[in-house]
Amino acid sequence: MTVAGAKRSLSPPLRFEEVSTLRRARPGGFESTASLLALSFVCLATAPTAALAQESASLPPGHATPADESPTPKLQIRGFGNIDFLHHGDGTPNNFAVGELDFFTTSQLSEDVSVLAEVVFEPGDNDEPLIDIERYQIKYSPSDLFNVAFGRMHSALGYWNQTFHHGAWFQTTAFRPEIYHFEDEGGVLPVHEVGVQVSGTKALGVPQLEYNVSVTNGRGIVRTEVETFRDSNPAKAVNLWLGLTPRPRAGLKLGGALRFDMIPPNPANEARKHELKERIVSGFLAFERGRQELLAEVIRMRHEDAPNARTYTTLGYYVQAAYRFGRLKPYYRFDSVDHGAGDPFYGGGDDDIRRHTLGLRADPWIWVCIKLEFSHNDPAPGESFGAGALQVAFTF
Amino acid sequence: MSRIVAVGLVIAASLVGATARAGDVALIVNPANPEADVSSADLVNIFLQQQQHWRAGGRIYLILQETGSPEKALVLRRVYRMSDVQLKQFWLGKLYRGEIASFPRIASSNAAVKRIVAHAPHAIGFIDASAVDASVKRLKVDGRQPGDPGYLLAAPVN
Repeated sequence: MTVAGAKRSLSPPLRFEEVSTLRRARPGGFESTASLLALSFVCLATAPTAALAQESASLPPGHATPADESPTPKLQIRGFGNIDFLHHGDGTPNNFAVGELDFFTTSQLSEDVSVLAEVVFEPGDNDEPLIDIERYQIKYSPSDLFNVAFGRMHSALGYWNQTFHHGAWFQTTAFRPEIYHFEDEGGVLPVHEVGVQVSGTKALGVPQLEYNVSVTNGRGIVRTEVETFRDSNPAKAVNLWLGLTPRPRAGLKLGGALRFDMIPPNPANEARKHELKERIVSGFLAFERGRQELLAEVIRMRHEDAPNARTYTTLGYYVQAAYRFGRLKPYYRFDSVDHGAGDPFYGGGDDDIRRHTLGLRADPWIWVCIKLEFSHNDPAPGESFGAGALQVAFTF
Repeated sequence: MSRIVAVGLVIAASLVGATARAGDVALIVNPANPEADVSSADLVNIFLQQQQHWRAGGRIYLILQETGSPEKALVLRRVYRMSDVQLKQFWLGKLYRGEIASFPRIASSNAAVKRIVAHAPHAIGFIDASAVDASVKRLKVDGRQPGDPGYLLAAPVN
């Protein structure tokens, strides 16, 4: 598959109705990263010319879903991307930056089984391109109350991590909250996990209760590592998440999470020669209704070095508010992260963060948005600086 | 004799009461579906795909109509309370969060919705109430059907 071929396929965006009924499938072939990428590109290239099947193909009697009538599973593919112009405000030259290029695929394999894969192309530290399999999971969903997924997933830590994650187009702001930076960006949270997640929804009359329980490999030896292919210690991370939606259309959701893990020692680091017991507690409130948006999350991480009788606590939170006026949506966010002083897992070199962000999101077209934002940073008394960003984010 | 007239009047009144007005939208399911009545709260959950399985079992197969159809416009206003653009973005968000594996199916006409629902045991769709026939089953909402006062998907009064 050539790059030219891929580019050609991007030009004619699909109508929603077309996407909903695309029937192209290439089951299997997920054995390796390369085959997954190749499959993604093949499907991307062929999608615009794929045969459409709307109501004309009526279902044979007894068949419950469209997957039953197709000779092979249908593959849905979407792309997300963003291009930025950054003003760092700390003496670093302003620059243009290619953001993540995210290919997201799903397929319903049977009425109860589906697969999801998300591959992201992103620039590395030295401008070399990196390819990450961000999510890769197979899910069995026999009922609303019980769904089980195996693979690499987003950790259910609160609200933002499961709701927006990589697609910058979804989120109001240009960037993620400071507390939710990715592991490979030096983030403090395990935002990805590899293992099994059980989740479900239960209607309690009008209110809806959601749960998510996961058992996963957990943290790696260093903070940037997601243990995708192995586990450095026998202990597994356990994550419990609960969310409550009082009324489905009212836009309010409340919840929280509790996570336990045992972080393996790092033989290469004298300060990390013991295991660390990790406990993460979080709470969130999200209100998104019509023009209004209010998000607030607080997360507390505690690392216990039992042999040395030391504990380290990192506390992070953000509050974000936005209000839409037609195609314009001004927003404000306050981020705060207090890193546990001397926490050997984080290396002890992180500055605390106090950041005010003021921005404007414009949606001139349905699948494209432009965000302009300015931030004021106070990492320490007397060390404040401003920064700015212009971002074009889109989905295709 | 007077009893017969009274009974006749009651029947006539009930028939008049159950007569759908032009533009009323009916919810339809497959005749094999045991559901006969849903609450408006359940209906919202089904159409938002917060509820994805029927209580009797089976994944709900949601059929929507194309943008521009009067039936879809009414469902957008009364059930989703979203614009068409917001609904498209809503589905994409659900897909991205892994809450659904595919978009709801889109049909281009009342006849098309009816044909799909008639053949798919777990399907639910909506059509103009006057187009309902024996090939599908009409669902009540909160005990009301098209033509009843307070029916959720009654045509808007101009």
